Amino acid sequence: MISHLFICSPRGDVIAIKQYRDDIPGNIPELFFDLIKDSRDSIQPVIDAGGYSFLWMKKNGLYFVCTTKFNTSPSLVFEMINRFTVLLKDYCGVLNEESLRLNFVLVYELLDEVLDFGYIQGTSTELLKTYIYNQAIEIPTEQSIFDSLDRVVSFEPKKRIQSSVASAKPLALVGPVAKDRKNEVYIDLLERLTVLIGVTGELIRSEINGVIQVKSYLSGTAEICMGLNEDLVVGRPDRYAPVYSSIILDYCSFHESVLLSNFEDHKQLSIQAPDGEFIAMNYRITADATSACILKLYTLFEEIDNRYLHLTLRLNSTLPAAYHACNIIATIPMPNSTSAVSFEIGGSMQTAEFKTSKKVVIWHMKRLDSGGEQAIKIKMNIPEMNKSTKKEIGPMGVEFEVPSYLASRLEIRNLKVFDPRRALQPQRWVRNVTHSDSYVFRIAPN
Amino acid sequence: MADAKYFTTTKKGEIAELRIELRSDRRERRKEAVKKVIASMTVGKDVGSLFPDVVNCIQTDNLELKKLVYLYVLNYAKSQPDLTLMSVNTFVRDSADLNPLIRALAIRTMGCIRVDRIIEHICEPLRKCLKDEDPYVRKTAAICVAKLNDMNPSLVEDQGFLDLLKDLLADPNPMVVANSVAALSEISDCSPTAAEATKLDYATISKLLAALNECTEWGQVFILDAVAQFEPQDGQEAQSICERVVPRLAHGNAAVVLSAVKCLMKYFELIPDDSEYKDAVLNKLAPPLVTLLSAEPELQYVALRNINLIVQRKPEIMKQEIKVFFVKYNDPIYVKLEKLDIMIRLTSVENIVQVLSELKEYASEVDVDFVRKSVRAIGRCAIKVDSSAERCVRTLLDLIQTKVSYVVQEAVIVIRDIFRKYPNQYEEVIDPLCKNLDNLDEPEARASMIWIIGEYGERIDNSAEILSTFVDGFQEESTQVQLQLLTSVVKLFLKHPTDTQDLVQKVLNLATQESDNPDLRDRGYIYWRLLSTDPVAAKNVVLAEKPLISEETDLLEPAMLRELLAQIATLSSVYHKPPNSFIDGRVPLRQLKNPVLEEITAVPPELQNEDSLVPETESQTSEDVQNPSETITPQVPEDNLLGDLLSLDLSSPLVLGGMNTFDIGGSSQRTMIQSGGDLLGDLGGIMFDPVLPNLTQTTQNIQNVPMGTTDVGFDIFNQYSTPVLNPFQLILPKQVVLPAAKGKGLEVSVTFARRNKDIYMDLTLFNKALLPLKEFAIKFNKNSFALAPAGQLNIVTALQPNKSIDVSLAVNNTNPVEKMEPLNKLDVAIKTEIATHIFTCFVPYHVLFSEDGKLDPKTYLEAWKQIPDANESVCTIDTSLDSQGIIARLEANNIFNTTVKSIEGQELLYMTNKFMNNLWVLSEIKISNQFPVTSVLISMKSRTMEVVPGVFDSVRAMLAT
Repeated sequence: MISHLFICSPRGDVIAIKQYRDDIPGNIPELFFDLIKDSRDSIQPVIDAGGYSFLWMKKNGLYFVCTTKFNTSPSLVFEMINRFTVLLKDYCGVLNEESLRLNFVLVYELLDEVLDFGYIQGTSTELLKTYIYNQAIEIPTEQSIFDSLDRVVSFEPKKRIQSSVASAKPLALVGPVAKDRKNEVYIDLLERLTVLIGVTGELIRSEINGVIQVKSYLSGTAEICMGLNEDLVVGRPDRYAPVYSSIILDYCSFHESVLLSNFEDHKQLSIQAPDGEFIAMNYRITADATSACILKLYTLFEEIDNRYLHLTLRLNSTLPAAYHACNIIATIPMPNSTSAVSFEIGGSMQTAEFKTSKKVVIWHMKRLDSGGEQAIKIKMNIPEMNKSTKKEIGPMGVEFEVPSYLASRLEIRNLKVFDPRRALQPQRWVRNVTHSDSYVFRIAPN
Repeated sequence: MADAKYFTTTKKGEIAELRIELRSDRRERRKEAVKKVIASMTVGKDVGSLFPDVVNCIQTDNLELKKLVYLYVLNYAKSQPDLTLMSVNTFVRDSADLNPLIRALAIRTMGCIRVDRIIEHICEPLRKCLKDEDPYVRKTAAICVAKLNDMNPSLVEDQGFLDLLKDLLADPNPMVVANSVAALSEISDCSPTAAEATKLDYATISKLLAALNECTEWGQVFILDAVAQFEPQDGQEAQSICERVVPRLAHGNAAVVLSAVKCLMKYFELIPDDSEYKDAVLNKLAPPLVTLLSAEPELQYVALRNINLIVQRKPEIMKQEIKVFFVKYNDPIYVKLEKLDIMIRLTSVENIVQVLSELKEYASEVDVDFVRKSVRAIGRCAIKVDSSAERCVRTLLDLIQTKVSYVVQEAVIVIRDIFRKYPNQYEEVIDPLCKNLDNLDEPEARASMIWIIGEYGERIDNSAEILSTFVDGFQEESTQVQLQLLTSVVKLFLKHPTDTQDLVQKVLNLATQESDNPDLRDRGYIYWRLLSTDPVAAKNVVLAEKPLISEETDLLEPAMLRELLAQIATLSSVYHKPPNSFIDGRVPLRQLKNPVLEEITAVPPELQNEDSLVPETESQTSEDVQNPSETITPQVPEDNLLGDLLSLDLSSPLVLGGMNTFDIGGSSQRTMIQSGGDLLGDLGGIMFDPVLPNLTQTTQNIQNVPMGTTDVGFDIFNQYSTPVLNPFQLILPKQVVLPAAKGKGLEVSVTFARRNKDIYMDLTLFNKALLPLKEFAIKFNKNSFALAPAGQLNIVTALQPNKSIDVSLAVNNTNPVEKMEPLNKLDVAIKTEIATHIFTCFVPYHVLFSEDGKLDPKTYLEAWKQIPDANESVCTIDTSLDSQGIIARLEANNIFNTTVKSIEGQELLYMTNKFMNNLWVLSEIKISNQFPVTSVLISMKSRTMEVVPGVFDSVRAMLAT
């Protein structure tokens, strides 16, 4: 079972530490930092430290670390950290070093309630309200901008669950602010795309991972009823048999608060919504995920004088009309022997730069409309070109976001909240976003 | 107002100021003051001196303030137990408060005060709280029992808390049930007696499963983990458990899913094979596991490590899903490496094309480790799927063209392995390889290249030239390369004697004269002697045909895999190590089925040689070595033992999984990289005698090397790396068993010893006759332990009058069994040219104890229980050793310690030993607390009582000081 849980900053300052069992002696945070100092990128999330183990995750730029002397379930610990960060967000509004330091008593109160003697007691925002007496202190909103900047600087993997700005308020706040938002529920449908496209444009792999994430301020007994596409199919008997449906999920899993009695027949989810943020449904589409392929790439190589290599990239969008991809960042590795790179940019709202140290070109596009195209010509100066130089180019990874669009075409067809104590339907906010998870084009000719 | 302001007060007299505030009449001020104290505490300031003042504030009906005080107290309870104890009355009072929250807080806090004296205060309130009307209090109290158990296990049992805890399993509140399950599991892991007391029956398990739905996700994990420990009676029970567990797979929490998988992996094994339900369960496992791969990378990593185990057992589950293991460019490196490993395990003829084209892409990525592993993976594909070998070789050739140094080096190593699987094919790659010699700067790659040149020397035009350039830099090379260079030059010389004579002379000189490395020197001498004595033999030895390697070398051995599969969803399954290798002290046993237990408690074992625990390695090499003296006789130069051993110089066993060479805990297989070197190092120690280079002598000595019966590389490695001589190992002095008068002038003295997992009979033969004695032969009569000589006596030359010779004879257990009286009696016949002599000796019991006689506490307990009390015998042995001394002495002689308990001032050592014929003896050693220790009381239990007196005698001898 868990012996310590501590949160520390990337510099190694301990923000909060709680010792649940005294079976591991020593200055644990220091030991932990000694371990990860040298190998930040490659060290595994589960470390055998000789007689005990460290399990750690980095969330919002902060280290969340647990120790244990037992043969514990590591996924239990990681899920606990996940939920704990959600709790901190629910109670403190935002999760960053400053807000935790501001709310340290609250953090300790939570630490005390979430685990006892290293056993997880409960992580539901709703349940804990009974036992938590401290009030959150909100940090000024401009701080949250720094927070997001921080994330970019530290090159963290993209936060997989983006909460809308509107919901970045402490949930457990008592007082006037809380009253204002009593009657709201936010529902985010987020999809992440994993696509791999071969040199000749063939689709090697495509996968959509989606979540329905609910953040409820309804408090109490409200039941949220959500109707999904009625022709939704889960699983198929034979993976190659045709199924006539607009949307086929390979697999889905649900939060424990979701009742599925109406799912089979009417694709209705009824959720006994606890307060706070939680993921109501997880789903995955692989077999029929061609709809995930929303960007196409055309490449052209030109070799000049055995010294210059020109690569033209044309990125096309195949999104349906009215949708656009934005904040597109393409990363293209260049051959190691490249000495210089220049660009010809054929479109507006784009920039490109060559990172000499890493030998990559970062191509940034603000926006790509449906049916639109962005193009770039990368001119490489390569003093020692040989047969295999070209092969070193790529693969090109693309990051982007498509607002208001879901690649799977999953929809919430209807959304109702039943609450015997409320006459009015609460405010319901639904948001659709599609993100890239790993969208990769291979460009080097084989 | 922000709490942060509390951090800013740093002026002097701060403590005094806080004290005044803490004593303020106004509650608000007191609250602020406590917050300041806590703030100071969290930044590491010592505010312990304020303890009495803070605790005073506890007398309040304001919950927020009360909670703050408890927060403070909880933190100081550990460092200042005495101070905390002073306020214990407050806690006791609070534990009867009207507010359940306060009752719970009080009981929780008391559980964290780790001083013995708290015990007298805590029992009554705890008992009350366990029966409290409020579930929040009950669940806190349940955990508190675990806390108490941690401090004083016997108290928990004596006070009946275990029963109270078991009652809570039927509690209407699921949180309470979950915490009770958690507490019981922890207590049961602590000691064998507690394990028995907390054992759950099927009815309870059913109830728990029924409660699953109501539980929180965390509670579900506790319950599923407890269910996974239950041993069902039959397939029926197993199936009904499966049915209840399967719905958990759809849970969104990865921990619930993995714990459910663990249960299913255990129980579906117990469902009869013909049941349709079995397949249904299997088919349900893959989708949820795959879904885990879209979670956070940390969870993905845990899932992948588990999948890696599952696909070794049941590859068909994931066969269709290979694409999900393709790496994403933004995966963290630890996820990438793990995916790669699983990909290779799933590779088959059907998907090889796809896999290879992926691997080729990976080989051009940036991360060096990942690229290396990808190149290795291509090699593994070639070895695994025969039909793809050609394609793989071509891909490797392409990679060599890139001239990226680490890619080329890795490719060379991999190609060497491919040659070992497909000798004399794909020779067209040799040429391009030779063009890249300058790129090789890592020892392993250089050694691989040199191996290839030596092996295919006749097909490379300038092989001698290439090797001679390597030889020029001989001194600068690493040992690995030097050894390989030596072997390859000798190989080449045997193929082309004429133009490499100078080269071989040079290398042999370098190795024997210029090097300080004993391995190298000794290998040099061996070659030298071989070549100078009998070139034909040398050819047979050095150019002997090598066994082909196979792909399965990277799999975990079956016993280990079975153990790890029982550990799914735990840290053990992530490390791929059994729990006792990374946890000390508490060793929870969660084993699928316990073969050891079955073995111990089965009907009295027949006296036969069958060791179900150590899987036999069925490689050609090991067979060759199993009976060295049968295949080698000095007169027969065709033997290929030496050849085999020498050609182990590289890549045996195949080290493809290089990066994740699992250290499988204690004594399991280790991957050998330089087996050849080590082997020869050993030989050197025995036969360093450069004056008389003589082939017969050499081979003879090889025969003298104690050989293991499982795997050459492993055993020799082991012998080389671990000190053989343990000062505590009991070796009895030789005894004259055949006096000269009876033996027609031949005097024989004998003792037995256990070395390197084998029994050796050490004999001294003294010729007191007038004639030289020769043509010795030895035979054992049938005996109780099936002992038989593993070879013959290594006496080649005649034993001259008035000379003696020491011989060591390996003994195995392949003889027919006949029960002797006493059991350890052994009749031996020694034949010489002149006569046959029969004598009797007694095998000391301790040499019969095998190395795998260690048990874990739980199995020990169950075994102890299952052996009837009638089979117990007790004896007192005089010794002045303490418990550590006793354990050290006994473990040196293969009597292993399971646990040490101390109860009422007595220390109890639980020991086990196993005879080589799978007969187990369990003992309990009681050491009283009187000082100095003069004697200990030993009780022993075994299915076969006849052996017990002998074991007593052995223990007595071991403990004699």
